[in-house]
Amino acid sequence: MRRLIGWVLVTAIVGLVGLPASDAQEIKGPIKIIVPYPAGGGSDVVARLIADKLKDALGQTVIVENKAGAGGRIGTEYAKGQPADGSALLVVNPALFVVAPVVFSKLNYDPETDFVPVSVIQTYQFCVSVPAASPIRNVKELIDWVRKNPNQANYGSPAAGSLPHFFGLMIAKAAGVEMVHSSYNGSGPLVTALIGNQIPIGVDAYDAQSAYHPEKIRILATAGAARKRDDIPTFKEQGFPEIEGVGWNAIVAPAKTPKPVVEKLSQAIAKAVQAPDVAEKIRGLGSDPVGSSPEEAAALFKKDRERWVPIIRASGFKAE
Amino acid sequence: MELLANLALGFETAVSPMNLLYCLTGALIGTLIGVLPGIGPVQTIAILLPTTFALPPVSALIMLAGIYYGAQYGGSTTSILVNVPGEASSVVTCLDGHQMARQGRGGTALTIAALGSFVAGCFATVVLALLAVPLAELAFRFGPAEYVSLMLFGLVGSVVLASGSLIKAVGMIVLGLLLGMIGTDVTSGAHRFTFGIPELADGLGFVSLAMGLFGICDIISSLETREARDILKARISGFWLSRKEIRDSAPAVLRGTLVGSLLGILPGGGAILSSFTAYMVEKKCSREPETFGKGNIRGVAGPESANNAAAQTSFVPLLTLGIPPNVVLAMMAGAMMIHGIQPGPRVITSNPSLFWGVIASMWVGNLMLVLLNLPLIGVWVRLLSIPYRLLYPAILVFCCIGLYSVNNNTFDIALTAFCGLFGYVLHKLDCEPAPLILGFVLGPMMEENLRRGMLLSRGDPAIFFTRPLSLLFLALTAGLLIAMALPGIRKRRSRAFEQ
Repeated sequence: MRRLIGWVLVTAIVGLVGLPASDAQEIKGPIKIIVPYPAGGGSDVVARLIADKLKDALGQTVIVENKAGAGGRIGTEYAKGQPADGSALLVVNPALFVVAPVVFSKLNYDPETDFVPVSVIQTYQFCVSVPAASPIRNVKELIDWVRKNPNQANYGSPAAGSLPHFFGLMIAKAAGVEMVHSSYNGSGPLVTALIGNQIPIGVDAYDAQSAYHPEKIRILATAGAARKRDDIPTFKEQGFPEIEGVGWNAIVAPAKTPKPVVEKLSQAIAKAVQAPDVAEKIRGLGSDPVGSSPEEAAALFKKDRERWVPIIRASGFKAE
Repeated sequence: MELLANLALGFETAVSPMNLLYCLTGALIGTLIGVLPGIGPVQTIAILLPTTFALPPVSALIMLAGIYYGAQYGGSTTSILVNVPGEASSVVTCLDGHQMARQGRGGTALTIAALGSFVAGCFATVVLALLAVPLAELAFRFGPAEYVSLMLFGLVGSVVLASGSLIKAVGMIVLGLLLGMIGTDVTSGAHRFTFGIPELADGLGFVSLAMGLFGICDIISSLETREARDILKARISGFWLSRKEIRDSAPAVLRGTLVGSLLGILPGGGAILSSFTAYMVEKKCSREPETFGKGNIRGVAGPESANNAAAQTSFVPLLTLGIPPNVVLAMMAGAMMIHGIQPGPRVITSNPSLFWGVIASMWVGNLMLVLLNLPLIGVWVRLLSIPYRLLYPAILVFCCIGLYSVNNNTFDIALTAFCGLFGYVLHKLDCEPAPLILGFVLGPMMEENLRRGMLLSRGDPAIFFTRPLSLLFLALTAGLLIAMALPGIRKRRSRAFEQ
């Protein structure tokens, strides 16, 4: 009898403690990481690196689903309607979560109410560069040159309405000069134009141009708090502390995903990002592995909205 | 000497048993999807990309490259035998190749397409090895002004190329330009003609448009006619070339190879543009241009050599600069990045066995394709001689799978169906879709560069006339227009297209 009571108690305790806990954290696989861009792009590469690790950590099949179109907005809208049980994740960036809500009057998702942050995968720095043949050596010379040559003061960015586009405006505003923006159809064509000396100034993510420095493109400054590369000083070091900006890739989940599930996923993703082989590959792409908590991700989103939204508004840029 | 050592390293990598196997696999898959209308190298590489994860990067790239140039071989087979381009780059092959098949010279057309591709492939491999670095420098000379002038030249040239009414050809180009404007404006980021449909924000899908206008439309229109069926049943024989045919086609193969090698390295160029250009060149060089479109062997030899040469030389900008010149190469760049190799100038120095291995594998792959394909043409043909009632639904299903796989979106399938119907209307009106496609492809690039040129010059159009390369292309365009306007030539042109 006593034995029986003992078993009942044990069962009850296990039932009370064990089951609900595992229930709440149980993620019904397969888990899909939605990448709102075509296969092969930067965010696709990191999603696949992480999917590989998550598979082992969570004991679930993890697949990467490419849902490209409309600069990522189609995939984001699609992710919004996915089951909020941890089985659907989405890779996002500032273009989707910071810029789009300002420049699109009719956006089919709300970054703040339709999604919860899970983890920041990586951050990458912006930079300003000139063709290797250019006489300009540093940010101060760049600004002097812009002042003296208003008719040639053009800067190229990889796309209209991209963060580098607005980062260029940030530089101009901080220096009190005017530069004409010319958008290219992606980072590749911008690099070609810079190497071929077709455009005097380029603004893009550091990793899109770092491979060409210093033989073909001279990067004048990177926009992070610390140097990205020993021979390239930051804007801050060159006397422009207000010029700072990083881009990022982060993972979010549909808004109603339970908190314990988000926590569990966040920890697994952070661990995957920080695994030496993955971290090494992310560094190889020219960016910095992060692997943050959901709270840190939320804080980054908020900080970036405060940083960029006024500049975007001031530019008057509208996508429609 | 260094080149020899490099090539030796390349061949050592390329002929290792495993890499030979992947080269063969890639070439075979490429030919298969090239033969089947609807599925092209872009969709195939997209589908196979995840499976290359497990392979070493060299093997993965060798296989993916094999798919690309294999498709150029396969694409011609369908063009010649069923008048449906298996690949966008084989569109012009339909013009003369299919006429040859109708005249019972299908075997000859297939042989010259394969041999021309082989010669071009060998030449392009040497070009790639010898001139990779210096040739890529050439592309940098092209600023916005040069691009605009070159594309204008291309568009005017495509009017010369179009058969039938001049007005209709111009109309189709303009329609293509207009369709190309749909989507996000590169310069301002504004959405144009999207009617609030997010799927249209990236513009009309090239795959949807091309597949609809060529693939689906052709299926619909061949359902009306019964004769089309007999062509498939007719036996394909006579693969050997006569001495006269060799003499006729050899110069065309060489010209096509040169045109393709040159245009392949230009960003935005590639296989499609070069096959169109090569056809134009052939027609211009010919003493009897009126025989084009009626089964002239040069009309097959030139473009088929050109598209294969271009498919290979388009690796130059990717492998030396990391800049993919077209969609297929963009997929290759993705494959490299997945394997942790940043495509760019450092590939040659940091991964020499990969760089030279891929180059050497192209020559090996081309050899395999000729050795395999000439005997295998029978198999491919049998694939096409399946009765239409089986073949058509199968092609449609393949088209749908391929389309869906591009963006995982059903919108693309609906769009293709619509383009197919639209293509049928054009077909009934005797309007050729080829200039439309060219306008559609070149239009947005031309507009982007035109506006960038004007922006950079602060609105001064002199930029297009003061840069020597740009001026050269504009002069050529003007020459073409004057030639077109001269009554004698105009008469000859209309005679050439009289049917």
